[in-house]
Amino acid sequence: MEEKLLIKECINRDIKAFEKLILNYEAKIYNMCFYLLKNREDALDASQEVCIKIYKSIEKFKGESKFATWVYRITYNTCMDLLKKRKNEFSYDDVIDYELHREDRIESIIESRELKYDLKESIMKLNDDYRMIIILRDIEGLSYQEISEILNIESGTVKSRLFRAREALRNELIKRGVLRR
Amino acid sequence: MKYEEYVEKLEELDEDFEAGMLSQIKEEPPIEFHRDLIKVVKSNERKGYLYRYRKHALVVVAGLALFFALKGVSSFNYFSSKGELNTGTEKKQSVKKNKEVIKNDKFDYAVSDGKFIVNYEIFIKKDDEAVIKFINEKAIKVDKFRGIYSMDRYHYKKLEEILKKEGIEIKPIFNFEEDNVVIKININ
Repeated sequence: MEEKLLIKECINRDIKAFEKLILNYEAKIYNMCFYLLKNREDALDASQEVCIKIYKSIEKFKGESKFATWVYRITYNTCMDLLKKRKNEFSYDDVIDYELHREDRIESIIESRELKYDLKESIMKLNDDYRMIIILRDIEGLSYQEISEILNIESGTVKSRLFRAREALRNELIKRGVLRR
Repeated sequence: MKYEEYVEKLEELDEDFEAGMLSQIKEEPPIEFHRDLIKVVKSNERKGYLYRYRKHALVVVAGLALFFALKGVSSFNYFSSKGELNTGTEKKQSVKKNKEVIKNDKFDYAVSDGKFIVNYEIFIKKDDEAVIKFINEKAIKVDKFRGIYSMDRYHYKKLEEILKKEGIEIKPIFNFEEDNVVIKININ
């Protein structure tokens, strides 16, 4: 079924239409939440929160941008709110980071995905702005225009921030021996 | 560096950096995520429905409250008119109460039918013209068929004296709070 039709049915509170619609976005939402929040549990909670927000406020989507852009924007805002909250909590971030690394380390040993592990680790080391732009551009493959709409920044800022984010990521990867200087 | 050069450099980097590497590290949600999400959405929807239902119910209740508030005066009147029975009961109760008080304290006779409190019952002879005349002149007929009269304290005292002269004793007024005395006159 066409996305526009599904959106229309969702506005009329058709849960089945929502099930179909959200199925295409769940992975994207979760992926973004995971890299922003650096934690599986938080990413799951945030993803669910985002999906519910989408369902509840779908009538606010006017079709001025792509639906995907709108979804990413909600995801970004939700995650940023959670990050702000988390920053107020003493040393919570560190505990989560430790658990994530431990979990990922075990996973990477079992599955022998060392490159992926190094990449993830390096991304997680970036600050929120850099991490966000790397996720949207290099992982999700969105256009500069879409990223500009999601982050509510100028297209030129997207490019410059992406440049700096990639450099920071490259430095991390060099440190780990994944890339050469 | 000029802006154009800068953008060019960015574009170069863009091509050479990715190499499809980062797109390989996408994270997938667990399989149960979708099922759990839909459960939550359905549950929220039900709660929302209940909330809306509750909201509507509150509106209806508020409407009814307003209706009764506006109709309050007439309703009160309606109940009052209906409640005459209650008022009657109250009257009866007070009469009953009076009856008890009367019987116990100062009076011989209480009520006949809830209308009058008869303080004294007097027996006179039909040929006792002086007494009959006095009563006809000084007492007020309340219920002529039943011989109930009302008389003020002063004249009651006078009646008492007249009857005493004829050898008939009636009970004196004592602690009588009312100005008038209700008497039942029996003519033999």
